[in-house]
Amino acid sequence: MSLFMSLFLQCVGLIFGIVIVFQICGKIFLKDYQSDLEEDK
Amino acid sequence: MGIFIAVILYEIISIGGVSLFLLYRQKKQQHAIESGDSFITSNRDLPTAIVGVSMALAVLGAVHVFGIMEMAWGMGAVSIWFSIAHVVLLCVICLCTGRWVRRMRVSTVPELIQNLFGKKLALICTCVIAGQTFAILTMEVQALGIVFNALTRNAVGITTGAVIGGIIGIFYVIFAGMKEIGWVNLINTIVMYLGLIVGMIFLSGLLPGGWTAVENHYVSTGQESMINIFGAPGMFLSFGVANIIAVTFAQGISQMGLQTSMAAKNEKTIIKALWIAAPVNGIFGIFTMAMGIAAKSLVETGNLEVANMDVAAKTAGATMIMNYLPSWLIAWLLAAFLGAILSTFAITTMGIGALFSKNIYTLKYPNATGAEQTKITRIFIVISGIVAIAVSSFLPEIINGANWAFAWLCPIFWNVIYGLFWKRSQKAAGIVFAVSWILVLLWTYTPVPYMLGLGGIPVPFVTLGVSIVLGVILYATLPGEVGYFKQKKLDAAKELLGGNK
Repeated sequence: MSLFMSLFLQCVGLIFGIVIVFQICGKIFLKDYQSDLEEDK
Repeated sequence: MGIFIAVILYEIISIGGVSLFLLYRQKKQQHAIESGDSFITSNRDLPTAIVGVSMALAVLGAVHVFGIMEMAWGMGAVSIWFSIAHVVLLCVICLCTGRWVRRMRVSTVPELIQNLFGKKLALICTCVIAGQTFAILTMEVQALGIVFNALTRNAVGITTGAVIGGIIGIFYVIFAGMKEIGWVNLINTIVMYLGLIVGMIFLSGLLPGGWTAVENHYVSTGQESMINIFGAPGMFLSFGVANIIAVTFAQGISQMGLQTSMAAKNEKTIIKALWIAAPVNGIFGIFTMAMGIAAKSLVETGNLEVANMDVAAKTAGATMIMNYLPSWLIAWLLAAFLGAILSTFAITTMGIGALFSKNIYTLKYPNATGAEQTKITRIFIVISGIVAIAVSSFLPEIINGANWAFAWLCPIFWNVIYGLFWKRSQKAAGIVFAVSWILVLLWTYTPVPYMLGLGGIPVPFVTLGVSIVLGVILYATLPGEVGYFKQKKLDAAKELLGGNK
């Protein structure tokens, strides 16, 4: 695998890893503060 | 000059085409142009794809293009953490601050401050946020000048380039506002990524010895850390974490960062948009970082000559692109870079226009109609664009300037968190703002920090420290109302209990 592909895959993995961790944390810590607006339901 | 004309034509066709289409549609729908919310927040109807790319491009500008290439020269692959910091920022916007401003139906960040801490602090924050947004805008103008200068191989000077770029940037937003930015962003993102992918395929094939030679060069010269995304020991903490903190706690509450969220259809749209915004923004930096690493290895192995070694960090990446790629691909890549910078220019001028029309103009004319607000927003888009062009040539380096601008917003981020979830205390917020901003001025214009032995601490860390330490002490001791969301929760519980009785 070329140096570029190796760096590319590491960074893409990192990006999606961060997004997944934040999504899980958001669901856990902000579940009591959900929107009550009709358009958001 | 052919490349320059091709890029200008692309910008005119993409921006002109989208604007004409949107104006035609607005004319058919009648109501849209009359409403101030149509121009500033697109009647809060932007779908997921537009919200995703617009959020990504709003915070993807000059530093992603030139800053990362420049940083890669000095520190190597660890420079990608500037881009990763923006991924963390987008997570915070899409899952927290962006949702909250959309839920509260505000059009500007000072409107949010007004809901939490009253009119006076909102007005002060308007001035600070407008100033910070303007600082970012001037840096984008500077970068626009650099792109045009590179495009024409010095035939167009940086100042003239800034004027041309500024004019195109104003057209990016002036016709249909937020909706126009959104749709042009979508086109730009597709063109930008296709350009980056094709450019990288060509570059990989044309590099002498390919990427293996780049890797071998760094390994054989004892610079292995240059090709490691965590860099040399200590680099991840001193650069990576520092960037995550500075970027997230400043841009997480900036007008330009939140403008798109305010225009989203609903909260679900914002949450889903994260899956588009994070990769679109984060992956861009991988390309510029890799180009920076390749350019340095080419210079060190004698395969690339730069005119002035003193500024090689700044020019090597662009020189490599100009020397190694065919003309049509240079045009495509630079058009991609230009699109990224123009999108940030557009959203920052829109932010400044919105701040003036919604938070300053309405002080004198509280009953201003939507059409009047749209007119004022347009006027300030043009004024801020022109003034930014005029002052951009007197600016410091782009990266230093960005960090300084970020420092002003850190206290606003933390006070908003306290005000939403803990307590709304005008006094505590006012003191935290005042102390933080006085320290920014001391750090910038006086030798006081050096006299205290604190000169090495970057200014965003100073305001972050004050916001957390002083903020927690003051909010714990001073009186105030219950936090905004906490109050809503209590009200809902009371209503429920009342209903049960």
